[in-house]
Amino acid sequence: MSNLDASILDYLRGHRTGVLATSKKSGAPQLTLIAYQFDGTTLAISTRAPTQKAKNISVRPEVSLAVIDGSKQLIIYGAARIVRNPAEVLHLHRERIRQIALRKETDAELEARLKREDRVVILLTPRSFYPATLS
Amino acid sequence: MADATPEVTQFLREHRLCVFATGRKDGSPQQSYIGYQFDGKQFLLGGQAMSFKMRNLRRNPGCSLVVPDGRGFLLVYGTAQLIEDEAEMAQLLERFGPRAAPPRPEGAPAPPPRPMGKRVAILMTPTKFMADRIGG
Repeated sequence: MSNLDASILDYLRGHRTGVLATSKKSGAPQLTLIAYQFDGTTLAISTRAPTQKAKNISVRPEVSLAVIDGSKQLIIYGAARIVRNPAEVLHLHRERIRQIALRKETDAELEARLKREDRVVILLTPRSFYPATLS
Repeated sequence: MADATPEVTQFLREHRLCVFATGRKDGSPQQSYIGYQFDGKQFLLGGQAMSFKMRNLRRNPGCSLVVPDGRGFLLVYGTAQLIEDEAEMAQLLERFGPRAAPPRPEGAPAPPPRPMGKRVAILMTPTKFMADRIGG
């Protein structure tokens, strides 16, 4: 990771949603609003396996994420990968994504839901950060 | 071209900033957070002539934007046409009207003037509107 300072880390930790851009086959961007959990190194994003963003990342892992707050913005570029292994998916949800979840559920409920919803995890490793404030 | 429902038009008029995305040469996405105007049919955006987004759009006019609002958002896909001719830009300014000044905390100093690079207008024709909430 480059140009990462403490204020960027704080900003990422202090927020939990962003606009994720992936690439369609045509090279045009696909956008979705997502919730992320940042552990200081990677961003973990829960999604379902059949979603377009998961398919796009499998083909082209380069993504960007915009985390905005009023006139403040942070745009991140980096590579993403899809974690599909059920044990890893469960672990990532239990240890990380649960921290940002709105619903309360037991481990058994979580495990059943992940399977039912065909959940996978997008792990995004940031490479560059562009913070700015609109004037 | 996709038609905006009255609800979509209303939402777009109540907001002014969007995350705008273009595709780079290698197909990876590029994003910027910029102001937009919507006249019920098309979007007017803009930027520096030499910016990455303009270079991307000259190569691939496919673009998208998101207007977030809490946990909900409006997503728009479309194609961009770049307007560089001064007379055409003046016509667009007339059609879309002046842009609202960004909100500034009371007593905050005026922002420094923008760097004087050549500006280009982006006229985006929507092909699809999607309203959604975070999840999925």
